[in-house]
Parts: sequence; C-alpha cells; structure tokens
Amino acid sequence: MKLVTFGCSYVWGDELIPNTPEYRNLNNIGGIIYKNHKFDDYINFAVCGASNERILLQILEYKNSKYYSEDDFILVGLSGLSRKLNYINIYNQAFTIPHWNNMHLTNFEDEEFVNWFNLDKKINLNYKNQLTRYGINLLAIKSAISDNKYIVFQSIDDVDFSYDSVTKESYIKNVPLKLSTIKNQTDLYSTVLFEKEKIKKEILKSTNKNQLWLNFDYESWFYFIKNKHQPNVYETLKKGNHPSELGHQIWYRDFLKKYIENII
Amino acid sequence: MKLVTFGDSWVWGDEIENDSNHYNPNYSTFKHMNNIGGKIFSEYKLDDYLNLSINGGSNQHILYQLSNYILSDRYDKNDFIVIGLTSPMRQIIYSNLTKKYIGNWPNWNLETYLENTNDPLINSYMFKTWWESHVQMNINAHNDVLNYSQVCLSIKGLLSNHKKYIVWQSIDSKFWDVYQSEDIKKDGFFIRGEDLDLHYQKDPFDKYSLNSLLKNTTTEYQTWINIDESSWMDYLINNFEKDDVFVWSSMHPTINGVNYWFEYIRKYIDKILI
Repeated sequence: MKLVTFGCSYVWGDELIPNTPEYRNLNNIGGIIYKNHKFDDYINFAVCGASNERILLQILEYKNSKYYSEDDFILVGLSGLSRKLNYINIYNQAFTIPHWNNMHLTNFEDEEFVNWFNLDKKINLNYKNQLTRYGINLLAIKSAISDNKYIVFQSIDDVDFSYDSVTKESYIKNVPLKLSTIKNQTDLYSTVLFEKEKIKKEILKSTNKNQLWLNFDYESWFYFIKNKHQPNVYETLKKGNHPSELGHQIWYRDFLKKYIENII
Repeated sequence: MKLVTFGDSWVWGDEIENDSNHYNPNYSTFKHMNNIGGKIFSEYKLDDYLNLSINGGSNQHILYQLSNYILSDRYDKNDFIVIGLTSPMRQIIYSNLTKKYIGNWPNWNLETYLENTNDPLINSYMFKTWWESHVQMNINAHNDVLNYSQVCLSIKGLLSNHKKYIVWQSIDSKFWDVYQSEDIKKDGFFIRGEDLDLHYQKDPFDKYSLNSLLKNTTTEYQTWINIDESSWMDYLINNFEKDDVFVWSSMHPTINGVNYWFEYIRKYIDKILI
C-alpha cells in the first residue's frame, strides 16, 4: 500500500528548511506518516498555491497514471475556499489565485489582466460563489477517490466562518429554482451548497469507515496549531504562515494519528 | 416509481406549444405532457412526473436542483432520474454589483444579456467593463472542460446511492473539440515533477478519461451517455430536416424533435426500467 498525498503548500511542505526534496519529504506531513506506518512508498502530489480545483486535477492525473492503485491510502489537505483555478487566454496558461491579494500577480502584470483581476475581486468575491465552488469541489473529489481508503481534512481557512458568513449575504438573492408538475410551477429557494450540515450529509453518504471527511467537524490545520498548541506561535508556524517541522509533527501526533491508525 | 427530470430549456420544454403561433413563457399542462419527461412518463406508465429543469439553466443549476431534491421530502431512492446536461459555458456567478446571480445564457454576448435582463446594470460602466474583460481573459474551452468535469463528477457523487438514472447531453458538446485545438498550456494537469521525477502522463480531462471515471463502479441502471452519444441537438441536426425537428427560433426541439430523441435513447431507458 502506497501513501499518496494531495494538497497545497501545507502538504507540500513549504518553508521547511533546507528546501530540498529529500528533506521536505522526510519532514512534511506525508513523510511523518510514512515513517510511522507501514507503507510501501510515499508520493506527494501537493502543489504550492493549489486551489481545490488544482487538487482535483492532481487526483485525476494520478488516477490516470501508472502510479494509481485501489490499494493506496490517500491523504487530501483541502485548500482555501477563495482560491480558484482559471485558464487565462492572454497568457495561454492556468492561473490560480492563492488569495485575493495583488502580491500574487508577479508574472501576470499586463494592465488588462490586472484590471480584470481587480474588477472580478470587487464584483464576484463573496461567500455564495465560494461555497458553490467548495461544494462542487468536494463532491467531485469524493467521486474521484471513491475506490480508495482516504482521509480528507482542511489545511487552511475557516470553513465554519464561510458557512456562517454566507447567511449574512442575504442581500445577494439566491438563484431562483422551479418545480414544475402537471398542476403548477412552484418556486424553490433552498440551496444545499450553502448549508454545512446538508452538504456534509451528502458528502458522507455512501462512504465507509475507511473514508473520512474531517473538514466539516474539525478546524483547519492552520488554526489547530495556531490556536491550541503553542504559546509561542513561531515554533509551529514559519514566517509565511506555513507549519514548521514541529507544526507538521503536531498535526500528525495530536490530530491525524488516531484516524490513520483506525484505517490502516 | 416517479420520474424526476433535470436540465435546461430542452428538458423544461421551452417553445413546446399547442398553438405554434403563440409563445407561452409559462409552464403548462401541454408542455408537461409533451416534453421529453412527458414522453418518458407516458411510455413507461410511471406513477408521477416532476420536472426540476430550469429554462436557461446551467449545469450548476442542475446541481443545485439535484442536491435540493435528494434532501427533500419528495425524494425516493426508487425514482427514475433523468438529467439533460447543458452548455458548460453557462455558469452561476453571484454578483456583488447586481446583488443576484448573473445568468449568462445563451452565451457570453453582453448585448443579448442586457436585452434579456431588467437589471439596472444596463447603464453600469463597471459591469460592462468586467463582462468584456471576463470574456477576454476567461472564456475558453479549458475552463469549460474544467467546469464540466467537476459538475459531472459532482452529479455522480450525489447519485452514488441512487439506483436508476440516465445522463445525456442536451446541447453543446463541441467544447471537447475546441479544447483539443486550443493552444493553452495544460500545466494545470501536470504532476509536480520536482520531488519524485514524475512527469505528465495523460490529460485527465480528455473526454475518454472523464467517461471512464463517470462509468467507474456504476451499475447497469446508472447510465452516462453524455460522452458516448452525441448531444440531443446534434442528433437532430445530423439526422432530420431542420423544419421538422426545430421550432422557428431553431433553439429548441419541436414535439417531433422530442419524440425522435426519445426513440433514440429508449434502448437505454428500456434497459433501466424494463
């Protein structure tokens, strides 16, 4: 059984020093799990700056590769809800918005692009768009890994805050939906993707005891190590807000270990 | 067993009229009995028929409707669910400016949108500028394929426990060909090669890979024909006289266009229901 990991910079192991593949993959979360359990191999598919769409792409890439096996144990660290992968015409390539901050526009500096970026942020950055995308990302990931044992957790961001905040966006009308029967047509307004408990129920449906979604009921890795485990936050988080070696160890030891042991 | 349908205007039954000289924008008994769901309902003598498709809807609308339905009191795991997918170019985008969602049907033509909306945005320079720059930056088949694949996999996830369903493409399947011809780097699809010397293997979003994923672990009663078969629209265009199968606007099928599609797909439905 291989260990195969997916995620953003947290799972990749950003800011672990020295910045070499060997050191990083021995000391990042996947490396720690690999050392502490009996796996035949460990492959890290995580990508710095990844969105959840990018994570899905990586999973599909892996499923279509010779490295895929139904026997593999998959670990997915979900990324920020505001991140989004777009293919941009003028650059002929993908652009992932790590967060809505112009610091990530290096190499994407054309005036037209920056104007679009700023307008899109102003007009379309809201929780309704984020949670629609998040729900679709989760359902798609669920389908893609349905044959494997897996654990999915949230690496960064505050999922509860997003679900709480969307209720405050009532000034943006929901999409009108209809039910048509032979007698009449009635309006429907309930939107499952905006309600945590409902989308959670759908995600958990038809999973088995070896397929765990921990992103709904537990805080993210970032908040876990920031809030609970260190009086001195700089021992667990590096300057760029990525986990230190200790931050990786704590996430394994105090959170993931018990779930992994139950599965394998 | 109930029949429950999801889709866009094609499944909704737009422009199916008992008086072809008068367009009725509202749903009617005539539409209900003569649209594709009505045809399936009467041919297979099902107990009831609910139509949850949306005129002008996107695939995200379908996902909204499906997730609402599955968690509603009306849901029964024995229902026969029919889904007609629409153009992946259509999207739901909630706009802070309009304070509602932007329905970009039938396409990303700004003039068409403004003609069909009562938004005060018709005079908004900011909205117009955003729309035009969005089209310039983001409208391409790569984004379409990404959105489409995600929605298909999401629908599969929602229906993982559901016994009987069929999914087809109602309109617009040309995006696959455009996707293959676009000169956009697929670096979003590459394995991060730095650490383990893994390299790009195969495009996970080519339609054959997606098709294989959609059919993985499905039963013979859970049927995806959205990739194996042409779209409903293409089937009509390729096999029949235009005036026979399309209404005057050429945007929707006539009752004949509905019946021909039903006859074509009934082999799949027979397998599921008989």
